[in-house]
Amino acid sequence: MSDLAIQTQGLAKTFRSRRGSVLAVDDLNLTVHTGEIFGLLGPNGAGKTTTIRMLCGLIRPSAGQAIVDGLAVTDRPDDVRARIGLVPEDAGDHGNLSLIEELEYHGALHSLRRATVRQRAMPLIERLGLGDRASHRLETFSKGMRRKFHLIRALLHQPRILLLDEPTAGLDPAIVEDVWDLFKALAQQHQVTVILCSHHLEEVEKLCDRVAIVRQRLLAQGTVAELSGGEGRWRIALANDAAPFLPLIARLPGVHEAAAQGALLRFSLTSEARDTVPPVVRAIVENGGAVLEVAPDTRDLRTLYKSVVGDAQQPGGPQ
Amino acid sequence: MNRPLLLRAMIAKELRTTLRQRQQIWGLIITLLVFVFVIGMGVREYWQRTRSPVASGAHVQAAPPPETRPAASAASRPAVASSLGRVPQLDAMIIRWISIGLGAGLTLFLSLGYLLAATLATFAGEKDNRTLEILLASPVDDTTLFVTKCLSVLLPMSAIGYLLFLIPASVAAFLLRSELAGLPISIPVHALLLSIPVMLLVSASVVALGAAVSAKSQSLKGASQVFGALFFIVFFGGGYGLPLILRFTPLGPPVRAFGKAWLQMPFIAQYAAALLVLAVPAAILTLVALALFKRDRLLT
Repeated sequence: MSDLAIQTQGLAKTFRSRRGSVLAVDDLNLTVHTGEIFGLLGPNGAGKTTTIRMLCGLIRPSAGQAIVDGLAVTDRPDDVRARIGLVPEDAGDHGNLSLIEELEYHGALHSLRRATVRQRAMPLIERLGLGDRASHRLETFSKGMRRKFHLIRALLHQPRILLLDEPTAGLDPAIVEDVWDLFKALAQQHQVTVILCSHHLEEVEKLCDRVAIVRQRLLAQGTVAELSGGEGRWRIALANDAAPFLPLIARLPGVHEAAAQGALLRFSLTSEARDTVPPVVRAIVENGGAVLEVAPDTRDLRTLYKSVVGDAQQPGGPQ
Repeated sequence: MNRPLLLRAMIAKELRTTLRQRQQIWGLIITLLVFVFVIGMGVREYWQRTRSPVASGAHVQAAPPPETRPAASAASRPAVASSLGRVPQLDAMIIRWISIGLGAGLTLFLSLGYLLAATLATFAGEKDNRTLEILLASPVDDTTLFVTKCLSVLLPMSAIGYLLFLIPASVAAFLLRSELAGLPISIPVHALLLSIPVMLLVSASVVALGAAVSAKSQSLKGASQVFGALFFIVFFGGGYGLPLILRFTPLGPPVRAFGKAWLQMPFIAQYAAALLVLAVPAAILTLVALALFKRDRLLT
C-alpha cells in the first residue's frame, strides 16, 4: 500500500456554459500522506470545493488525474467513494427524519445494517453530546447540532479519508476542541487521512501537519513551519540601511534568497548551512554594521496566507 | 452493494418524509373520507332499493356476478333495469376491462399528487435540501442509484393510492355485487386486483420521466415547470398525435392488426398483451432516463 493517500497530477476543471467558460482549478499537483491532517486553504472561489468534489468523483476533471488511496478516481469512482467520508460546507439533511433514522438511511447507502449503524453511531453521538437527541427530528436541531450530526454521518462508514469543508463552522467553541481531538485521534490512532478546508486559520495551524494554499492552482505546499519560514529563514535588524550589506552576505556559502528591506536583512540558509548565522552576523559587524536583533524570520499563518494570496493577485501572479 | 437494504431504507425515508408532513396527512384523511362517503352513499342507496323496490320507484333486478355468467352469451341475457332507465347487460369481458381501467385510473388519480411530488423531489428535492452531494458521494453505482430512487417513489406512493382506492372500492364491490351507482355493472374484486400491475406500469413511465426531469433540473420549482410542460405535451400531444401517426406512418397497419387480434383473444391473453404494451414505454422511458442520468453533471 502506498504511503500517499491522495495524489493529484495536473488536475484541472473548467466549467463551460453558453455564457463562457470558468477555470475553477488549473494544473493542481497535491500530495497528501496517509494519516496526515492536511489543510487546504484559499480565498473564496479558489477552487477548494471543486477540488474536493473531483476527489470524490462528483465532478469529472477537465484534465489531469486524481489518485485516492491508490485508486484512480475516474476509473473506480464507486470504490473511491466507499473510502471517503465527506462533510460539505453547505451540507443538509432530511429535517423530518430523526437523527438515528437519518443515520440508518445513510448507513444503507454504505450497505450497513441498522444494528451496525447503531453500534457505530452511539459512541460518536455520545462523544459529541447528542445522546439525548438521538430520537429527535433533525428539524428541531440547532445549526451547531446539525453540524455535529454531519460529522457523525461522515464517520459512520469508517472512511479511510475524510474530506471536511469548514467542519467546525457554527460549532460551540466549547465543543470545537473536542472535535479537533477527534480528528487528531482519527489521524494518529486509525491512520485516517483528513483534508481540512477552512478559513479558520487558528484551526488549521493547530491541527494540520501540512497545508496547501490554492488559488485555482497550487501557490504553496508544506508544513506550516516550512511555509512560515521558521526553518532556515532568518532576519537581521540593523541600526542603519541594510542594502550595502546585501552583496556581502549573498556571497557567503549556504546563504540564498537574501533580501534587504530598509534596515532589515532577510535570508534563507540551506539545510546543510544551519550554523552559518554567526558568520553572517560577524561579516556584517566587521564591515561596520550595527546589529540590533537576530531572529528566525517566522510569519504566522495569517500573514503567510495574506502574503501568498496577495502575491497571486498581483499582475503577473497566478490567477 | 446491498440493493434490497438500500431499497428498504429509501422506501422508509420516502414514507417518513411524506407522511410526516401535516398537509399530506390531512390530504390523505380528507380523500379517504370523501371516498368512503361516496361509496357509503352508493351502498346505502343500493340496500334501500333492493330491500324496498316499491319505495324507491324503480324495479331492480340484480345481475349475477360476471364471473358466474357465460361471457359469450350477452345477447341472450335479460336486460336489467336501473334507476337511470333500461341498460343492456354488459359483456363480462367489457366489465372486467372497465373495472381494471377504473381501478388503475382512479388509483393513479388518487396517488398522482403524492407520486409527482415525490418523483420530482428525487434529485431536485435533494438539491433543494442540500443532501444531493452526500447522496452522490455514496458508493452506489449510477444505475442502482437511479433505479432504486425511482422504485422508492413508485412502490410506496402507489401503495398510498391503493390504500385510498382499492380497500374501500373492494368492500363496495363486494357489498354491491351487481350494481354501481345505479348502473347494472358489478365490479369483480379480482379485476380491481388485476388493475395493480396496470397502474404500476403507467406510474413507472411517469416516475421514469419525472426522475429524469428532476435530475436535470436545478431546483424543485424548475423540475415542476418542465415536467408540467412535458406532461401536457405527452398526454395531449399524444392524444392528437397518435391517431395521426397510426394513419400516416407505416406503424398504422401492424397496430390495427394487433388491435383486431387482441379483441379475439381470451381475457388472460388480452391482459398479458396489455401489460406488455404498457411495459414497452415504461422500459423505454427508464432506459432513456438512465442514459440521461449523468452523476458527474448533477452538481455543476
